[in-house]
Amino acid sequence: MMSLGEDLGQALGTFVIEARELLQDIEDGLIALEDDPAADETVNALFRAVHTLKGSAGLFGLDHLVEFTHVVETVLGLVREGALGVSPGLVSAVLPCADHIAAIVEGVAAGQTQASPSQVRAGEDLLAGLRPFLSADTAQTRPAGSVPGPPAETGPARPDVAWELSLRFGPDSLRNGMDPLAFLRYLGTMGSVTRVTTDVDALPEADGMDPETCYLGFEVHLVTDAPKAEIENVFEFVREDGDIRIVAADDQTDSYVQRIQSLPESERVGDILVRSGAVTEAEIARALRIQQERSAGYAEPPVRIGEVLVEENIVGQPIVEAALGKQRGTVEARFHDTQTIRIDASRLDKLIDLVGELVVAQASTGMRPAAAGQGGALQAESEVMRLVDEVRHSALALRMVPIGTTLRRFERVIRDVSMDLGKEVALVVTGGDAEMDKALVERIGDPLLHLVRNSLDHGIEPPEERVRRGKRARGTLRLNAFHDAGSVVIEVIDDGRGLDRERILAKAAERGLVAPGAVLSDQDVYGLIFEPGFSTAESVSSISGRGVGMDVVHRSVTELRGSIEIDSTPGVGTTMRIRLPLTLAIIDGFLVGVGESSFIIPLDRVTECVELPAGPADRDCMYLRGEVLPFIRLRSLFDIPGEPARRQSVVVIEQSGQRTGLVVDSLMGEVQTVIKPLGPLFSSLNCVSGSTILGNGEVALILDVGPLVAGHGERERLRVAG
Amino acid sequence: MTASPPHRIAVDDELTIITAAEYNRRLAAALSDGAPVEVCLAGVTDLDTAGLQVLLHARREAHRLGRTVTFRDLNEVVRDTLAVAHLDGVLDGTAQTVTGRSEA
Repeated sequence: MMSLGEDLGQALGTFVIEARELLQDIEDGLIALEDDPAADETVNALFRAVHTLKGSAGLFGLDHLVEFTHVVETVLGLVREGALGVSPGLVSAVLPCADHIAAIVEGVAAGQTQASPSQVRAGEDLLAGLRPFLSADTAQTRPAGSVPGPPAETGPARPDVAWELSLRFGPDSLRNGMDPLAFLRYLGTMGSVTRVTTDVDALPEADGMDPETCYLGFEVHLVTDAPKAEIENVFEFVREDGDIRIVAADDQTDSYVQRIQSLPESERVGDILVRSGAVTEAEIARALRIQQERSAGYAEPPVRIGEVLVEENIVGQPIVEAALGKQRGTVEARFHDTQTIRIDASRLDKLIDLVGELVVAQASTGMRPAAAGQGGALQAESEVMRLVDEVRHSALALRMVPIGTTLRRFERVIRDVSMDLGKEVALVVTGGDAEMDKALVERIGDPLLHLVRNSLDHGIEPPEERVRRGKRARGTLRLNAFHDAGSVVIEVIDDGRGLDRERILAKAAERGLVAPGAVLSDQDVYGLIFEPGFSTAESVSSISGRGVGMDVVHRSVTELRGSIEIDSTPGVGTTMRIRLPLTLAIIDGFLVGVGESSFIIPLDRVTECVELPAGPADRDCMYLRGEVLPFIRLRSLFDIPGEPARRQSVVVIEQSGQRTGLVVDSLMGEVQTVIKPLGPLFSSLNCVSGSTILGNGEVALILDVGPLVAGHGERERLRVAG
Repeated sequence: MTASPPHRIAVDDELTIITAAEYNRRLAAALSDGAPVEVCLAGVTDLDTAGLQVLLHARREAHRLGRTVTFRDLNEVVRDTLAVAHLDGVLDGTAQTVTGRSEA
């Protein structure tokens, strides 16, 4: 083992990222193949991904990776050629290979450029599993009908194609010894000339005729297996002076359109047309010349090559359109490719940071009393404000990625887990294009995984039980994502047995989480499963049921400033709904003041604001509409000096269903603020989640409501005890 | 117009670019005085586009001027050549597949 140099390390980092993506593609592809073994496109994509991976690995001299991947590539190559059929056995043999490649890649990420002995052993075992498939190319007979024929362009047995030849020879061709009839005769040897029409229009009247000038034109219908270029070559020496056009006969248009559609995409229409055989290189060259001549000297955009080809009667409109479609497809595909770019997250963060500061700087100019009557300055300033706002939005948008990739990753989990559990489960992903902050996407993966496993384990019943209940044996797990009022919602929906309210209650009572006989709403009962140490599963499986998981899910989601709710109908299914903010970088806050200090409370936690009723300065609760509302005096919590304001306010916040008041001096309203994380020095602070800079340049702390409320009881006990 | 005796032109030679001008002149001259023209093609040794053009031109001129031109005794050489251009029967009047506005 050796460690990598700094420079190589960086490039290698890119390789690792790419390899991980490719491996994800490979895994997706294999699982898709299992569902639809006949999908050629999937096989091709799969093969390409493996091939690319091998190629990149080769660039870095990762021989152990190349060697192993090569075998996998060979197997997939056989599948692609149709020599090997897709079977569940094949998928099951290749999937672990993908895992092994992933393990090697992760090893590379950790600086390991050679296979470890255990990796070598594992690799050998896996390759042994592939061997039966590898021998298939010689031993196994090819499945009937799956052998693709040779491509039409190269095969010796080309089908006959009908051509319309329009032959107008140069006036001097007879004098030059070129006899059009000789050409016609020669055409007869190439195929069958099914129709010739002689055009005598050019023959002048009476004495105007020069017998040595060629006046006759011919329209020839030729059916031949010769490619167009070959026909064209016949007229090589007369083409310059005359007007020779060779067009696929009208009734051939469909077959050309079909052939074009089956061609690989290309950037240039000309290439597509030439490859289809409808147009020859020479014709393209001629059309390009015409195109150039026409656009010379004009400022307007040049005529399109396709138009020239049609106008010059070189090829029919439908064929050009098909080729254009193919080209368009290419353009779209390329456009799509460039839609995602890899950005160093730290650079992006810096940009957002800077823009955030720009917002601040701009706001501070706005706070200075504007000189009276300077309307223009005001207008300019509001323009700046608008622009800055736009910049901030677009900068934030850079972080947004579709959640689909994360959701689709569960294909594999579901396959493996449902196999382990002996259940049949289909995954349906909807709304995968809903976008959310990349950081959120990454951090929601694990909580989601827990929810998915939980649904598979506890939610969806074994096939026999499902059939007994009149359901389809194959359960469905649906992952759905959508945007809803400034947040993104991810749902994990199963059509399983639903949550058992009574059992949850009984368990909770047993664990002392609820008082026996307490009356709870369904939501409250379901919420109990997120309590630490809660598990109702009677059997502890390897998947879930250890009572860790659901409370971790809840904590993770809350840390992301999100929430989680459950809908469940017994016997019908359960929906777990995670609601997350779109981004972690910006929050809607409520700005309050205590003495000289300012604080921001996340707006989604604030339920209302009331005036603090008069009373002794040390009490810590009040009546709000007949209920006791405990409150926290921020002044004493943060030891802020100075006299409290004469009229203080209470901001009522809600956390985990519990309402608490925060006593403040002044209410300053809603603000949208950019969160700046606190430095490591303050990492031990647990009531403050970050800071932001206000328009007047002052720093405001963003309160972390959860720990604030939870810690309050603890602090009170200490205070009373002390 | 009197029924003057037809002009007879016999082609006993090749009817190609070499002789085309010559036969063209003779045909034009024959068509000019109104008498029907008979062209005997039994002795044609070779026929090329130039020759064919001359024959087709004569045929069209006759049509335009309201004269008659008849092509007789088409030999194998002529028939072969006409077949190549799918003009079989055009000269001896059994078919008309020559396109052109003036043919209407």
